[in-house]
Amino acid sequence: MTNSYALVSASAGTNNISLASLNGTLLINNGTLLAPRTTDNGGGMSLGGTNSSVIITNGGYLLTSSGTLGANAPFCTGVVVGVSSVWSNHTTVADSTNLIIVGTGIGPTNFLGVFNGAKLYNNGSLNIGNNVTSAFNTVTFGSPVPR
Amino acid sequence: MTVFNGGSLNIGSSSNSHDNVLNITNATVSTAYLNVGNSGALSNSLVLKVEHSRSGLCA
Repeated sequence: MTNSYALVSASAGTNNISLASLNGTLLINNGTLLAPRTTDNGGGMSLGGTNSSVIITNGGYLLTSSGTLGANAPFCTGVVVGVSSVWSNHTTVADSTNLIIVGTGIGPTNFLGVFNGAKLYNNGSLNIGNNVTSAFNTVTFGSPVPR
Repeated sequence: MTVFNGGSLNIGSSSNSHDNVLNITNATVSTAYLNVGNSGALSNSLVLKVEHSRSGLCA
């Protein structure tokens, strides 16, 4: 995706991003995708397809209200990479809870990485491994310098 | 590299959750709370590293 796109609807309470199929990819390459909550506490981004991924790169911007990588699915990946690339999980709706989960339900072995000058803003909690059945998840912030 | 987390950062967020890892390398992370293994969680890890280039300068 290289252009801007907003899921926001004035009449919609939720703006959902769902990757529920096998090997699905959401690529935000220097574009903007806005999917915040508007009036309720639902919505957000969910990667629930095995081996699905979201990649924000080259100055891309993703705005969500919640994010789950590995919702009852393994091998889901979220990568935010490069200067000016941003994932902001933040809304100002009253009583809204901004939560990022890496691995929940039967969702082991998921990954979230923020690399090479990218930014992650989360106005809530970040849970790595939300259940006993969602083990072996990894989150990596930063990266070693090149050798 | 900037990470801001306004709530809790939980590595192994429930009882018996296990073998989850947070790696922080040459990055700045701000969080209100940091929990490595909540009650009953097992074998969860926080790995903090500062790595330098061969010239001795950070990237």
